[in-house]
Amino acid sequence: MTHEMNKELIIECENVHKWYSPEFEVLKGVSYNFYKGEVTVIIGPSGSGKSSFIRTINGLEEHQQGMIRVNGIELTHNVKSINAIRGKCGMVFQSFNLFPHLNVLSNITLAPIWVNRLSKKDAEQRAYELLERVGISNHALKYPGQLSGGEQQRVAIARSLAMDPQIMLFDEPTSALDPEMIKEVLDVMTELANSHMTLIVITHELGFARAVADHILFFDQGKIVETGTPEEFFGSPKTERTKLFLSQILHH
Amino acid sequence: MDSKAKNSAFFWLRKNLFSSWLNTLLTIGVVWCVAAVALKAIFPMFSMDWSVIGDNLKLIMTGSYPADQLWRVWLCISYISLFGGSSFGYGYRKLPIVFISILIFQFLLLFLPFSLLSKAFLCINIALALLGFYLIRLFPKSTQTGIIIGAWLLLLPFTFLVIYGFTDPSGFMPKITTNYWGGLLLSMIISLTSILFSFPIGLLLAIGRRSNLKLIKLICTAFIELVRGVPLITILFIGYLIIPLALPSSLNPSVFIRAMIGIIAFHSAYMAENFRGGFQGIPRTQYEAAMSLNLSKPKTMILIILPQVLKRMIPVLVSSFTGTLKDTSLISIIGLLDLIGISSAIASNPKYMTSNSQVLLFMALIYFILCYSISGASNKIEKALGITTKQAGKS
Repeated sequence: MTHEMNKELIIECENVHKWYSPEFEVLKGVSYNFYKGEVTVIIGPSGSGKSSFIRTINGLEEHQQGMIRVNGIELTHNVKSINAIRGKCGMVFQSFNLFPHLNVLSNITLAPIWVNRLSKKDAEQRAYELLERVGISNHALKYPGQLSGGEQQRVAIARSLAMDPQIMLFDEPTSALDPEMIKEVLDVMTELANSHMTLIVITHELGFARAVADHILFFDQGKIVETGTPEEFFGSPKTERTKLFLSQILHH
Repeated sequence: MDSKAKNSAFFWLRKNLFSSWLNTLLTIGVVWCVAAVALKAIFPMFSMDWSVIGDNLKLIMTGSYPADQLWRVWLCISYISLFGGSSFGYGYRKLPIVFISILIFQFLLLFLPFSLLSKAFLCINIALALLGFYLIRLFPKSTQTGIIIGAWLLLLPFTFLVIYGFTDPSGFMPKITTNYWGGLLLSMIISLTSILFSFPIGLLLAIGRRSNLKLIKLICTAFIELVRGVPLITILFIGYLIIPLALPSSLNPSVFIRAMIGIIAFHSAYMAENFRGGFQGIPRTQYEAAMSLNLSKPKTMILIILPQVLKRMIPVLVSSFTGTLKDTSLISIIGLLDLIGISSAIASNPKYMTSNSQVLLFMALIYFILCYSISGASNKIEKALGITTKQAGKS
């Protein structure tokens, strides 16, 4: 516990509850603290609430009870607090969600120009730097429909990075990709992790989790069942539920 | 060789038209119908006396618009020629066949017995169209787009200014009230105005219907459903009879304005439903992506959603534009002399009592040419935007 004292807290979640209706509760009291510069991988079976959890952090969905504080700002229904938090959190979706009517460059520069009031020239220069970073600077003028899934996802990552977030949230970024494209996206994410950005990643890529994660959270039925470092988690899982899940995934 | 060809033709007939007794019966029936239509309806057209069209051409085109002010109508046509030519020049490198045939048609009109003014303007229009075609290329591509869009948006204000006029009777462009407008001129002005207004109003209604604010949603939904639940004729009568009662008598609007309000209200409601369909086609994930980038709701709408909606909706919009154009023919029942109103006025003239069908056929031809060119233009736009060839992307 002492080593966590000198780390900077970035997201605090305390007893977060979320339900669509009283019978359908997706988060049943989630409490966890995320620290700056750490990579947290969330795994768990589908329907376990992991996706709802990170969408709640970004204010894409509301929580009904409990407290979420990002960088000291509490997430409430207040538009100002939601906007302040979204400015800190970039989000990458499973299905990329690029804007199909805009080319790659405009996809990336749109929000910096219209939200952060950057000049077109500055925004484009930054966009080219980011495209270079994710390795697709030669596709800047193509449209999303002309790119492969892996390339689209890397554009989506560049689009989020263009807003200079402190935290990046990944919602199953490789689940919609063909196997040969998964690596190119994971490479970009590994590079982000090595540059000490705070990452929260939902993924089923256990190899990535083992290699990159500082912490692993295991979600089941709307709760965090187990947490730990990759060594602890994969080496000596504590709960039966984790053992069962891991055996199912690993033998698959 | 010859006999073989004959044989194959015989076999083709046998195989496709007379293969069973039912097919034989159908073939004979269809041939009989076609022959009857040709003999009774199409061939007589050539022997009809078409002089009624020539005699009333001015009436059909402009109604009772003062004859000495007709140059103002021609001026509007010149505006259309110039920017029509520019639009062709924007889209094509070489003179396209459609464009050449329009010019040749105008050239042939010169040989008909028109007034000197008409002939002069026909020549000017041909020249302007060609001028526009080549002139537009002197500008850089982005300016070209601006000029063309701006010119078509300004067409209606320009038309109103020129046709309505702004000086006193002795001046250079005396005011001519809407009572004198008629024929094709009136039909075109009414349909263009209603298209131009119902488009943004419909869009606002559709956005209002999706609003989270209960009151706005209620008002928009109520308006759309009420208007859509009533036939256009009823709305025209309501506009005709009730608007003057509702407004103070000093502000008594002309029949033209009352008809306009009715038609715009009607088409806005339908346009709103078209837009609603377009909005539903945009996946929720697009909104989420915009939200996660911190784009505000209005910016999301303008930058992300609307461009995608409009692009998808071009075919639907064009079909409703042609619908609007044809629907304007209903205004004749509240006493406006549009194309249909004029045709019944001509029919009631004892001199042309027997020529009713010629007039109606001519009206049909005008409507067909207008609607067919609109859908032709929309096909071109769809192809240029790649709607028919490729989908707009996977996500």
